This record gives sequence, structure tokens and C-alpha cells, in this order.
Amino acid sequence: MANDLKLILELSAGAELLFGNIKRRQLSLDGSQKWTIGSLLKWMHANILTRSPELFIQGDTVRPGILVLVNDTDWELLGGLDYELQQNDNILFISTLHGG
Amino acid sequence: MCSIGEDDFGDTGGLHAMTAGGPVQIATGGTGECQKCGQHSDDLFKVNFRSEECRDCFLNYARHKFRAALGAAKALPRDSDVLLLLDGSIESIVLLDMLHYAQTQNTFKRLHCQAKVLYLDESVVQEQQSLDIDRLQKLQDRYTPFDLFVIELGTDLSNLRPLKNYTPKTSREESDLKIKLDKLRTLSARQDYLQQQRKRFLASVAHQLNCTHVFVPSISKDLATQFLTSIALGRGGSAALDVALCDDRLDHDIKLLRPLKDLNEQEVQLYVRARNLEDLKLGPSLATYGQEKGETASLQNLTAAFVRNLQENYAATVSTVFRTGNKIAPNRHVDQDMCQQCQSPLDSLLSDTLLAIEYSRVVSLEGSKLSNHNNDLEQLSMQRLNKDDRLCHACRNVQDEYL
Amino acid sequence: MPVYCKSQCGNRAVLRRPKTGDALCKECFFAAFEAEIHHTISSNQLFQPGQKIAVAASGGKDSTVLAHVLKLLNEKHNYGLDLVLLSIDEGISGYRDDSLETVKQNRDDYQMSLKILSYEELYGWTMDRIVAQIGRSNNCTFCGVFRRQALDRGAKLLQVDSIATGHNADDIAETVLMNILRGDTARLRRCTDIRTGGGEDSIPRVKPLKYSYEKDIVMYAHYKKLVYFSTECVFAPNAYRGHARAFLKDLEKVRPSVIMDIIYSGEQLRFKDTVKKPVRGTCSRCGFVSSQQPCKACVLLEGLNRGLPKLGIGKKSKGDRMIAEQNRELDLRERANLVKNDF
Repeated sequence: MANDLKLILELSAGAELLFGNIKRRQLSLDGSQKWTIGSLLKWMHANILTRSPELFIQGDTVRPGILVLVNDTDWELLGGLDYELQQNDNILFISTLHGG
Repeated sequence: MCSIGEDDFGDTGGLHAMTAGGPVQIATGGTGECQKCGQHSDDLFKVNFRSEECRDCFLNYARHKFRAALGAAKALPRDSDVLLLLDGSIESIVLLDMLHYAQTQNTFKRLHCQAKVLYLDESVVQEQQSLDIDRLQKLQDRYTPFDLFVIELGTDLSNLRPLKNYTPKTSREESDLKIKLDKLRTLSARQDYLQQQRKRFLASVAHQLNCTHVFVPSISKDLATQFLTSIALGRGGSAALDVALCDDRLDHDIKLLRPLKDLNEQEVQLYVRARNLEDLKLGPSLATYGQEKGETASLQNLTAAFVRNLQENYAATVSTVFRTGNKIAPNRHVDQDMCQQCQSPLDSLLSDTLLAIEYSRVVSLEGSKLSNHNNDLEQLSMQRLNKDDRLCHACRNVQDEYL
Repeated sequence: MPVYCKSQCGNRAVLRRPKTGDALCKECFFAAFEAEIHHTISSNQLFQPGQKIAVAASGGKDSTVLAHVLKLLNEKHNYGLDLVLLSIDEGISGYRDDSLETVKQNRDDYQMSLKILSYEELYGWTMDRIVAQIGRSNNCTFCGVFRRQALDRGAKLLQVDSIATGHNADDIAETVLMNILRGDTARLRRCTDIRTGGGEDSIPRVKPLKYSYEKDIVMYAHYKKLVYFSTECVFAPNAYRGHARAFLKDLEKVRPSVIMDIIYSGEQLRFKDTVKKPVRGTCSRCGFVSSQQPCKACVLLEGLNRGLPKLGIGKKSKGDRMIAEQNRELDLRERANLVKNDF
């Protein structure tokens, strides 16, 4: 659809293992509604999270220790869960919860 | 990479550190023979790792823990004046009951001290229903001849009254303490600040009542929580005093004692049953400020939730934490300056770790302009660390949160 | 509204640093992150000019960033160090063989020599074979004990002056909590030390990333496009050091500076005189550092070779009983053989 919200979703450093081992995908979300990181997380949980949701989601946010970047910027600087997603945004989740 | 078992990380790593063990079971008393005295009993008491015993034998055991804590360390000189803190918790009523019993013994077992009881009215900061005087009066009646005093936390000491002369405030004017608390940005800072203030206030009330010692009702689980909390707040150097039998940092040379420190939750509950004590729900209890905000609202709430979870799933770990807390000593030496807020030793200027934090602040300001004048930056961070505010690191953290 | 860099360079900030809460742009973050590690190294005098240093390299984020930054600082500040990579191959197929490829990439990228030591050549056992014999419980004990000693052996072989490990601030704070939960006062005493070992007979270990947050390390690796390996070990999936890590991460979310505060607390702890101190010595069998006689690695190895893999797991007395019993059995069998051979 023309008015779809198009996003690039990336998962790395182990986070992809919870999402069918797919590191990068293009999403088209219903553009008639407003999307935030918070609602994207719910959508991910319902649609593409394939196992162990507790390793990714805690309450209504990501599990502490998973970093979130929007267009390569730390989401903490963008309002976190409330950040409103824009056309062609790139959302990256990096897990730090493995060993080092 | 996996770092389980690497140097300093333990031979077995975290996976095997905790042994599972179910929650504490409170058995409702069965009927049978007391394994201790051999008498038949209709109401047996079963403490973990002990055999079933009758009411009297159990009470002897529990009361002995209280007496042994005070006795072993000779923490309470004969004929001391003691102020017992009644904070609304069931543990504080157990403490009152034990002290009352020890006082009314006519034998050589009598604990020689003069005791007064203080109810600290915290409704000023807790925004809950105000104090129920009738319930307090019931306690006063049960535990004569102890004198019961009441005061609102943080008010002028001239407001200290015996229970019979006390009338709870009806108007809800804002206290100075409440105003100050509201100015702190996070709940972690508010809870920490309140804890320090409460202790100082207790010391000044004790001093006013000519008491040299204060009894507080912390049990082992509380102290395990306190130990981890102190660590998380950066209070490692004084954590020993936060969990020890005797905290001697207070003003006027008042000693704060924790005679129930070796009792666990199960023993408290059994004691309540054995003595038919009533949880009077006197009002907001000492350690509950901010708990209604949820488990993740502050470092303190998270730590309390973590320990509760351990208690349910790895009960032995809670006592390990408590015992670790018993093995540490305060980091202090003579002639050391004290923090003007919490009276812990000041040692921040010696710490590489705190210097690293200040250095990080300095390089943030420099950013990529940062050239080779690293010595100046070192100097600058040193100055920031050594600013003369007479506060310890943890109290500086609180100070930094004023809005 | 965009957040601008704390340094007032005019650029938009890309991340908030957990240690201080400062927001920095990419370039200023690189400069600050590297300057802090340099400060840690120089103020603690971790290295001396002319020394040969082994970087314990696993291919993971910490050791990859450590190798990268050490090489960079060595050149920028003329440390005069000879840096080499030291890796341990535990022999875990599907895990270590892949991560070693990452280490080899590091070797090529940073032009450092690489020494890989395997459990197989050191002990005659791979972790795959150990797990086949002992099953999935206690395998981390074997792996951890062997790795600790393997690094020492490798360092001796390479004749280095010290080993730099990738332990970061989060690791150290977590270890403080772990040791409290386990009541391990001996480790609680030294787990915050930036330098351990280094007596007459052991090679010191240093932690240049002691004050670097995991978040900063991961962000640095991400922005610098460093390649690292991040798969869980196949033998310990999702169980990485259990509850303490989750607790720490929850705390960090409430107050990010908590990690430094916990390290500070750990450093400030003092112990009552009655708490016994560990005695560090060397193992009478293999000569490597140990606080036990013989060292844990030797006991575990003996257990494997005798077919008594539980030997080093429980209390020492239990292990001694197991050995005595087996010796008795072997003795009986020996005697039975003698009797048979007499005829």
C-alpha cells in the first residue's frame, strides 16, 4: 500500500536468534495509525518473535541489556518507547546479554 | 566469550552458585511429643533444621537468639537506658514482646535496662491514613510499665509526647522533610535520604529521652536486603555498620542495636503464633516508604524484590548474603573525617574508581578537541573529586539529584 | 528536538553514556572512550615500556574492542608495547571453532601475532569429549578451571610480561554481587583489583576495560564496525551467570551509575580479622598458581583420566575418599592378577 510505513528492522549480536535467525528485514506497517517503538515491540512480539520472549521483552519494554538504535542513534536520546517511527527509519536491536 | 570460571570469577560460575530450596513453610501446629522436653503438646512448632517442639521450648529458643545477640557482643552495658523503636511492623511488636519478657523475668535471666518505647509517626511523608491511637493504647496496656512516646518524623523535638498526651495532627501542612524529599528527582535518592534522616532523628529523640541505646527490629532478611542495597548505593565502606548488631555512627554517641538480626521470617511468624500477637497495622511502617511505586521504581525496591525472590526460590542464598554481611568490617581509621550527612568515613579522594567517573565527565566536555594535555584533565578531575563538601560518595549521589 | 553533543562541538549526539549520563556525538564518543582507557592504563601503570603483553582474545566484543584500542593507544601514546593475541581453543565444535575465525580476523586486521592453545594439546581432552564423558552438569567448572590455567600456560610459553583480559565494568560489578551471593569472601577481596597475580611465579593479569561500560563497548564496536562473535556457548545456552546479571541490568536501568557504585563498594569492603585469608601458592604438580594443593585443574584432570569425573566437584575430602576407594579396587585387581599369574 502506498501509505504504508516502511521500516528496516535489524537484529544483531544474538538478538536475531529469537527472531528466526533473520538479521535484517523490511517491514511495511499499516500507515493509517501512529507507530512508536513501544507499539513496534508489541507488533514484533505478536508477529515475528519465535522463541523465549522473556529474553527480549520485559514488561512493556525491551529487556535491560538490549540496546536499541534508531537510524544509528541511541533511543534513549529520542524518547525511548515513545519515539514516533518515521518513514524509512532503521531500527536496530543489539543484544549485550551473551558473554564477551 | 564465556567467562564462567575465569580468574576471579569463581570456579563454578553463577550457574551453580545458588542451590534451589523452596519457600519457608509455616506448618500449622500438629499434636505430639516435644522432641526437646518430651512433654506432650497440642500445638507443636517446627523451625527448619530443628525438630518439633512445644510452645515453651520454641519460645526459649527464639528468645535466646535475642539475648545471645545482645550478650555475645556485650553490646548493652548493665542498666542502660534503651529506646525501642515501634515502627508498625510485626517484627517491632515481636521485639517489644521479647524485651518486655526479658525485663519482667525475676530470675538472674532478667535483662537489666530501662526501656522506653517510641512510635515514630511517619504519616507526614507517607501520605496514608494517620495514626490509630486506640491501637497504640492497646499495646501500651499490654506492655506496662513501658512508657510509650510518639513523635512525627522530622518535627521539632518539642513535639515529643507520651502517648496519653498525643493528638495526631489533623491539618496536612507540608513538613520540611516532605518538601525536601519532593525536591529529589528519583525515588532511589528519596529513600536513601529518608533512611539517613530517620536514623539521625531517632538518635536525637533517644538523646532527648536520655537513652544511650536504640533497639530497631531488623531481622536477617531485612539485613540481607540492606547489605545488597548499601552495595548498590556505593556505601560499601560503611555497609558493615548498616547490617551489624551495633551501629555506632550516630550523633550524641547513641548506639543503634539490632537484637533480632539472627531471626528469620519463619521464626518471627512462629513467635507471633506462640505469643498470640496481633499485627496492629498501626500505620505506615518504617521501611515501606515508596514501595507502593512498584518493584522497578528504585534501587531499593529492586533489591527488596530480588531478595524476596531469592527467599522463595533459593532460601539458603539469603542467609549466605546475611552471613557475608556479618564478615565485613567498616572501612575506617582514626582521625578520619566523617560525612556530614550519614556520618560514614570520607574516603572518596583515594578512590581510582571515583576518579574514573570524574575523568569521564571531564573528557565528555572536551570531546574530540581532546589533545595531549591529559595532565590538566587529570588535575581537573582530581579537583572535582576533592571538592570540599564533606559528603561521602553515596550522599553526593543524593545531593546531585536536587531539582 | 535533537540532543546535541555535551562537548559543544555542534554535532548531534548519538548516544547517552551510562557512566555519567552525558550525550555525545560519534567522534567525541570515540575520543572520550579511548581517552578513558588510556587514563586507566596510565594512572594505574598497567604496562611498562618494552613489555610484551598478551591480549586474551576470544573473538567476543570485549576482547575485540580491547585489542583494537590497545593497538591504537600503543601507537598514539608510544607505550612501546609488543602486543600479541592469545586464544584458547576449548574444543567446542559449533562455538569455539567459529569464534576462532573471528580471532584470526583480528590477527590480520591488527597485525598482531596469534597463539592458539587448545585444551587438547594441554590436557589431552577437548570440551566435546569431556561433556561426552561427564554430561551437561558441571561442564562449566571444567571449562572455567582449565581456561584459567590455559591462559597462564600460554602466557608462559609466549614469555609475556602480563595478560590483558577484556573484563569490563559490568563484569566486575556482577562479580561483586556474585561473590556476595555465594559468600565467597576470598574472591570478594580481590575481584575488583585491576591487577591480579604477579608474584614471583605468576604472570600478572590486568583489566584495562575495568571502567568501560558494556554499553559503551558494544556501541564503540558498532560504530567502528568491528567484527565480533556473539553466540552463546552450546553447552551453557542462555544461562550466562544466572540471576546476578539480570539483577544488575535491572539496577542499571534505574540508575546507570550503579555499576561504578557497586565496583566502588566492592573496593571499600573490609573484612573482620576473623575471616580467613586465602593463601596463594603454586601447585606441587604442575607449578601453576593455586590456592589449593594440588590445584583444581590437576584434580579435575586426574578425575577425567581415572574415570572419576566428579573428583574435583565436591569437597576435597569426598574426592580423597573416591581416590582411596579406587586405589583399593585397583589394588585388589592387581593382587588378583598376581595370584592368577602365579599359576
